[in-house]
Amino acid sequence: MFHLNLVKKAQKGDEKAFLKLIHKEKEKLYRMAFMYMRNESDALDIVQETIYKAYISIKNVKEASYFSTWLTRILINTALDDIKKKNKVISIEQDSLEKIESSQRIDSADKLDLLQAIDQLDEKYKTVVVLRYYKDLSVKQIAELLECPEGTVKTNLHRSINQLKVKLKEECINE
Amino acid sequence: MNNQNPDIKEAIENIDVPHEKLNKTIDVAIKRAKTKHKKPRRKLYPLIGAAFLATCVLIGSAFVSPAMAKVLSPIPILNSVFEFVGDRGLEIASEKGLSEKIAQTDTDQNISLTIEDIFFDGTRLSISYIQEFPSTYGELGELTLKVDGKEINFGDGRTGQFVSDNQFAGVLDIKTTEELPDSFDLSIELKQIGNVQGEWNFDIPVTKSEEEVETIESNQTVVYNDTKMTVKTVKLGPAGIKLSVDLISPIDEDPIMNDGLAFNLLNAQGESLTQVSGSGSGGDEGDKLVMHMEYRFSPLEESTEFLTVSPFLVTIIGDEHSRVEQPLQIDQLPITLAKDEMEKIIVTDVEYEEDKTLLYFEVESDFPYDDHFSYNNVWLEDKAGNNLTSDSLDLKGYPERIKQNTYVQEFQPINKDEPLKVVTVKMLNLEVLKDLEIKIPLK
Repeated sequence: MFHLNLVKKAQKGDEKAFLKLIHKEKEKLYRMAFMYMRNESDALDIVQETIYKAYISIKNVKEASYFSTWLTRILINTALDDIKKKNKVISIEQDSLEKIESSQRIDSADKLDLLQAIDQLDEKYKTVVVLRYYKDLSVKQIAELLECPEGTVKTNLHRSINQLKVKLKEECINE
Repeated sequence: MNNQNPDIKEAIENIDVPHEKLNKTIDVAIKRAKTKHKKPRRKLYPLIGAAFLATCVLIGSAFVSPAMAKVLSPIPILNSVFEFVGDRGLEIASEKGLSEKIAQTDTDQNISLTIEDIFFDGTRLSISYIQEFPSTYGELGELTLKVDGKEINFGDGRTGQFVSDNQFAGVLDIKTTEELPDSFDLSIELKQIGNVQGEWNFDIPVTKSEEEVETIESNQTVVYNDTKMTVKTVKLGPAGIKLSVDLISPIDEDPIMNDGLAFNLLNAQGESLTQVSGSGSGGDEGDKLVMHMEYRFSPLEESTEFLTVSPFLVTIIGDEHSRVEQPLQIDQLPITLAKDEMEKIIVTDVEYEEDKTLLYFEVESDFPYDDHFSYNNVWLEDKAGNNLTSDSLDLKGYPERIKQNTYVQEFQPINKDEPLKVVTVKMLNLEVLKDLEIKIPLK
C-alpha cells in the first residue's frame, strides 16, 4: 500500500517519493544492466538512462503496482538499444579483465560458470532468464512486458535452459 | 525447471554492486531529468547559502530531542532552570555548581524576562531564563548578542517548559561561529517577544567555568562518496562532549541534506552516547560546500579508553503508515515486532500501575541506539487507536535505557483488561558506515 502511495506521490512530482522507489529497485536494476553490458561503467550508464527516462515519464505508469515491471521494461529496452547502437563487441582484454574481477567477487566457481553461461546467451534468451529467475516474474507477466505471446516466452525459456545445460555440461545446474 | 531458479538467482545476486557509484548515477540521472523538466530547484540551506552571516542551523533536532524535553520535577519552585529543562549535561553542571547564578530581570510591555543562570565551559554557552507574561505566551524573538561590545554571529537552540499558566522556563544554547574568550561581557538585546515589540536588555559578565575541559585533537579524515569528513576535535567537559567535524563536499552533494549523514559517538563498549544537539555553520567556498558541524553529546558517566566517531546515514523509507503492530497479550510475552531482517523490537514485559503503564522492551539491531532509543520508537495503542504515549509532566514520554539493549518507557495508566496493541513504524533506515569509523584514544 505504501509502495503504491509512493508511486502516486512520485507521479505528482514528489522527488523524494521517486527516489525511495528507485532506491528499492537500484540493486536489481544494476545487476540486470550488468547482465547485458558486462562491465560496471556501461551498466551504470544504462541505469542512469533508465532512471532519467523513468523520471520524465513516470506519469505514464497507469497501474501503480506495475511500477517495478515498468521500470524493468525501460531498462531492458535501454540496454538492448544500446547494444544495438554500439553493435557491441567486447575486446579480449576487457573480457579477461572482467573474469579476473569476477573471480574475485564470486566465491564459488560453479556460480561463476553459471553467470558466464547466462552471459553468453542470446539477448532474447538472457532477457527471459533474468525476468523469470531473477525478477521472479510469471510467464504471463514476461509476455506482457515483452509484448509477445506467452508461448514464445515459454519456448525461449525452455531453449535458454537447454542452452545453459549444454554450456554447463549438465553439471551444476541439475543439482 | 524450478530447481535452477535459486541457482540462477544466486549467481546474479552475486554480481557486486558498486553502491557509491550507483547512488551517484541515480543523482546524476535525476539532475539531468530535472534540468530537462525545468522545475524550480529547491535551494539547500537558504540561511547558509545566503553567506557567512548568522549561519547556524539546527539539524534533526526533532529526532534527537527527547532528552531536551526532559522534565525532572513538576514542582513550580525551581532550584535551577537548568535542572528543570536542561539536558543531562546542564543538569550535571548545575548539580556540581558549575553554572553561574545571574538573576537579572528586565520588564517591558508587562512581560518580564529573568536571566537565571549561565553556563560556559569553552564548549558550550547556555543561558536559562524565566519568562513571565500576563496572558499569552510568545516566543522570544531574534536575539542580538555582543561579546565585549562586538556583535557576534551565532545560532541558538531553544528548549523550555511551562512552569505555570503565566510562566515559562527556557534554556538557550548559543552556538557561536568563533571561539569565545575565557571571560567576557555578554550583552543580550531583544526587541520582540511573540507579537509584542519592546526592549529587553541584559549585560552579563561571563567567566569560563573552572572545571577542566579536555580537548583532544584528532584531525583524522575519511572520505564518503565525494565528501571529506575530518574529525577536528573532541572536547570533554562536565556538561557534555562536543564533537567538531568538518565536511567538505561538492556544492550539489551536501551529504547531510542529500544522504542524511549523521554521527554517533560510541564508548569503548560500543555504546552510543546520547546526542543532545547537532548544528553547523558554513557555506560555499569556491566549488565546494564547507560545513563546520558540531554535535553535542551527554557527558561520559564512566571513563572509557577511547571514543569512536561512527558516521551513519539516515534515510526516510516509510511514513506513519508503515506500521508494524502486534496485539499485546500478556500470556504471549515476549512479543516480537520485526521491522525487517536486521531489526527486532522484543516486548518482554508490561507493568500496569495506578499512575502509569510500563513497557519493557529489548532491541536487536546493528545500529547502536542511544539511551533514549532516538531515531526509533515503539508505543502502546488502545482499541480506538489512541497512542498512549504520555505528555503528562509526571511521566517520561520517551524510552530510558536500563541496560545495553533494554529499555523501559512510561505510558498513560490503563486498565489491564483493555485490549492493547504494541506498534512501531518502519520510518527510517539507519545505515552505519562501519568502514569510516574513527577511533579517538583518550589519555
